[in-house]
Amino acid sequence: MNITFLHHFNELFVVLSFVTAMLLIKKLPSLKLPISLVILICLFSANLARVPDSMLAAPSLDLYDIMFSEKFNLFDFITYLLYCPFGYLFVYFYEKGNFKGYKIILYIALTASGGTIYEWIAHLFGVFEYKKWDIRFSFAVYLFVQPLTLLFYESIKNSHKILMKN
Amino acid sequence: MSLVIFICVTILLIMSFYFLPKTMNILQNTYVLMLAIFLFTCYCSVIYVNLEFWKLSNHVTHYILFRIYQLIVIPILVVWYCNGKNKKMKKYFLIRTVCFSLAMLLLERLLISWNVITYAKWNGLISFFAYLILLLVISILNHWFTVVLRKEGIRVG
Repeated sequence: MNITFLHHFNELFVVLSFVTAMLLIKKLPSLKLPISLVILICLFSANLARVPDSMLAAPSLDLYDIMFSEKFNLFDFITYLLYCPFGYLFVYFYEKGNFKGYKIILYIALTASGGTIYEWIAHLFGVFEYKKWDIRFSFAVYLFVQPLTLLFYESIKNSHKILMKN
Repeated sequence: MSLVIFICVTILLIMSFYFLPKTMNILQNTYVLMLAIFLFTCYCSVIYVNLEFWKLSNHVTHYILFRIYQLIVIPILVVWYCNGKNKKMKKYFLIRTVCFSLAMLLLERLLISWNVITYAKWNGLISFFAYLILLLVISILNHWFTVVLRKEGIRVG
């Protein structure tokens, strides 16, 4: 089945994903996280996408393209903004689920699979165009960055608590 | 050899930053560091990928050198700059901003001398102003984050 026509909707896909994620955050009961922590989670998530992209998608390596171009455009920037609500939702369900022990591993494996499936759909819509990249590599990347996000979240949450006491 | 020198300079920079007294708390430092990485990588992409004002060497050593400069050295210098801001240093704000911009420019010149970066339709003066703007933008965004922390009841230096 030829689905290349979907590539014309890459920008729409990014905007719709962003709006859906924001609506979902609005609908979900609040986590009562301090704004400063939410800002830091958003920045961390955006950086987790930006740093590898700046190295792997740059002309020197050129493993993949974002939005059919190796150039950095406005929709690349919006794509990075998309990682902010995703990062927040990842932390949100982690907090709400109150996962401990092996359940954390299960949660990470599940969300890494979800992330990989979402990335594949984004690829079908032409958000990512793989050259020397493979979707299986993405799964490994998610397995690495998601525990990193949780570690980051736990460390800033503790720092915030300590600073509040002082 | 250039890679070894640059890695040594980076390690010294990290150690100096770690041991020097800081005016900002860990949340502010993390915020400024991540902001600097995000903004500087975007800036570099626009300059050398979109506009092709810089040409980057394809040599592996040069590639690593540039990434260290982009992801570690400049962001740490920005965090260092933001940590120097206190009431005593307020009147030297402009001098400090100019000095840090010059330091960043010097490092860029070092990369040029090693042929990591080659200018095309670009010059050092534009880079200097770009660093100046980067520092000012991050200062403003840091000020806004400081206000957020104060509202949450965190004492900020």
